[in-house]
Amino acid sequence: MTAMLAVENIVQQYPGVRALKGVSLSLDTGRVLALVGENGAGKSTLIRILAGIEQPVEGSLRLRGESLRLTNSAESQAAGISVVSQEFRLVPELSIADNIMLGHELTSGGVVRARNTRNRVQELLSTLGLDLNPDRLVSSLTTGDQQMVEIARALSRDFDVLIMDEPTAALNRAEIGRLHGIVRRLAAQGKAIMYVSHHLDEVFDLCDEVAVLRDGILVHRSETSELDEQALVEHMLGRKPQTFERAVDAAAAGNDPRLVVDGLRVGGFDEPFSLSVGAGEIVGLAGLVGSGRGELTRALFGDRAALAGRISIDGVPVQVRSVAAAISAGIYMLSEDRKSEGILPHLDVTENTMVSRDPKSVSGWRRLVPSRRSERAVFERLRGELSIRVPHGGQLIGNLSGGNQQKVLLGRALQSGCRVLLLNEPTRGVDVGAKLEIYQLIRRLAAQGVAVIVSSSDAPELAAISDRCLVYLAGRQTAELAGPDITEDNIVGASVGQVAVGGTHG
Amino acid sequence: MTTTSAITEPEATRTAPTSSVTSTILSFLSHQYLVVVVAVAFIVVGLIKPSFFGAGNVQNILFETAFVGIAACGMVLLITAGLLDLSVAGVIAVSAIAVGMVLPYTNIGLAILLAVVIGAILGLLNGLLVTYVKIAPFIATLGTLYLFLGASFIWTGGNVVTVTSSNFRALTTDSIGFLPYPFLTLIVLALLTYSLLYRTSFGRTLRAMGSNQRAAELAGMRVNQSKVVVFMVAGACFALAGVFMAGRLSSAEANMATGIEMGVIAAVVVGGTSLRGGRGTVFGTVIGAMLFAVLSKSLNMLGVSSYWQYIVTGAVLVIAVAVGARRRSAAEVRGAG
Repeated sequence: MTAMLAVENIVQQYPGVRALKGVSLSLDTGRVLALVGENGAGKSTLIRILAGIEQPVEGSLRLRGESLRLTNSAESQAAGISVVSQEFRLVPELSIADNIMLGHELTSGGVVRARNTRNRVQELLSTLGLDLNPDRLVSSLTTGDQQMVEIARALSRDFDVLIMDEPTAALNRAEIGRLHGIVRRLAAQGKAIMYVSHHLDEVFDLCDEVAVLRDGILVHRSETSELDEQALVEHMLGRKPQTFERAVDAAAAGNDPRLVVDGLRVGGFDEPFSLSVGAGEIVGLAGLVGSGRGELTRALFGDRAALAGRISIDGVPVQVRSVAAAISAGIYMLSEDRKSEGILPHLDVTENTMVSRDPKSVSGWRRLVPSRRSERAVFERLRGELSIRVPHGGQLIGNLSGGNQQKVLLGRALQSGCRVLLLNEPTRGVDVGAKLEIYQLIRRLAAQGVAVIVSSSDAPELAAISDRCLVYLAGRQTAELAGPDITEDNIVGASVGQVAVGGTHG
Repeated sequence: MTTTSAITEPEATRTAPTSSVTSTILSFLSHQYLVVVVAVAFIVVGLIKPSFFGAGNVQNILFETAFVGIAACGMVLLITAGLLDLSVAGVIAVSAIAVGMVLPYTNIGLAILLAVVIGAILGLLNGLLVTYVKIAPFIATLGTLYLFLGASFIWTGGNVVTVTSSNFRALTTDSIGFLPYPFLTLIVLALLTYSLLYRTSFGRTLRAMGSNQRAAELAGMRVNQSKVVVFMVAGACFALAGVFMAGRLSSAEANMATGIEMGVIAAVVVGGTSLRGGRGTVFGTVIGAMLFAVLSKSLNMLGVSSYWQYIVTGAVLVIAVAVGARRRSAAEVRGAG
């Protein structure tokens, strides 16, 4: 049987980097192939080649046995390859319907047939289980819904090959379940599907086969059933994974509370938030979209107005009317959206770590004219401590993998001299290897006496790193889990409103 | 190690500028093609018309470069920060007229200082409109351009204010060798601008907010305050350009610099600064200013009719920016993703 789509000996180079070093891979009809690998392994490059965005330096593509040359994304789409990209390519100012049909509008004589379009889109949305008005503007949607629209857009074309690049990154459990159902149905209809994901449970749950890329080389390909999670991670890393063990540190909980939040009212939520975090403690915040945990961290960071309530650090009341005020009070936050709210893409990694530097750590006029030598030295130290993988401190941050970017941003937080650190989705878009390193970093920060709040939609993550876990549902705390009660099941249960077994009702 | 090897030989291991000195040289070299263009244009026209090399003509070019370049030093700061100012001609007019008006009553130093302060105050107005009234820079400064011009016309009754002080004219138009004072001022100002942008916390904030304003705000940088200040600095630069123009023209009037904002922005953009902000090249800006000065004098010398001068200038602008964009996209490693 000839494969639906095959790439043969693909080589791709960027200035100074060989991204793909001769990769051959085939996709068969009716099969779901998982493509996994750490960030920087070459997955995105391969996808960009299949999408026609980039042309390989060497190698060829075959579609149904026939040689294929793609010079732009329109040709790729015409050949029957549909791509759901990791980054949204939606136009916020257009409606859902217009976005989905963008580039292949239903027209007669150059005029868009609005009613047909609407019906077609409505149909698509309902197969995806989305109850959305097609005339709504994309800018008004939540990230999860935007992701679903992006998927609907890929499905709206005629295609034989579907490539999905981390389609579930912004989706909740129910949506992920629906999406998996759709993927299985498409495979059953004879489509060839390539599915890229960092979530290994998805790989085992959904995919028939798995291919592993490492440093631009295809290192493994087999039926999913022939592997277990351990073996797959070994293939991805090229070594045995380090294990992360939760330090059962009873001392942390006994410490004096470092951050105390009392009756903090945040717009959009009826009940006020109250919590306290001890020095050296890691408190997890869990909850679905709309649980208010994201809004809570932003209110604590002065990025969102708090309507009422008191915040104190080490017993001293603080006012956080602005981000600057929060930082000088010793609070620092990293956003879940690294790209639009974290990195400064035109600045090098050294400058990126220095932008929030605690002014008290620098003397006098050096605050106005920073010493490049001392900044380089500080960055070199951070690079070692945080094991940031960059060739030199002059590297632009935009060229790094998600995990390395996150480490740089953690370095920025360290330099702010914060006593309270708020982390939103600290490992979103971060690969397996870097994830564990980031957990260790967070643990080490806490050990230095920082009060850490981790807000995450990743229940296993919270189970792995938090000393205590607060679960919210629509702004109300439904559970406070501690010690052995912090399990994935308890977190997920409480976030949909079940009273957790063994958890105390908040 | 040269830049070309880094770009054309991707197999070479990641080129690592180990020190800032090398990276400075690298960024310098990547804009060198413009220097070559300017030099070639200068020599070719000189060979055709030997009088082009005459001291008077070279000085004319340097004067022209200085007027646009001094203003462009302010503009490159704004554009790097993701901002823009169209009110250049208005600021120049108001400050130059102020100089002309006060010169009979005070000394030169105070007059120049007054002009620069006025420029900063007008910049403050722009900055407040953009930052706190939250009008897009393009529209806000288009509005103030007309405001400032209108004020100048009303102030002078539409007349020319003559600058009679010969000391002032000497200070603003004399030269050391063949280098006029305004051009030397430009060199010093460009060095200051570069240091401000790449060596100070303020410059870092400007680049950060041009790169990703939201991230800069969440990093606790004083974005609003910096916006206002950079408009003031730019206003002071524009005013300084106005001072030298008033000296060169021996007069000041409301429409003495009408339309200069486009030349200033063109110099910045041709020099290699992206209008999207985040990165700015001061050296490129000076060369950009020089390119247009050489071009306009060359076309005059060669007797190209003024209609065709528009065509050539426009074509050069478009080609230079297109070439620059191509080179940068080739030199830059892909973005995040």
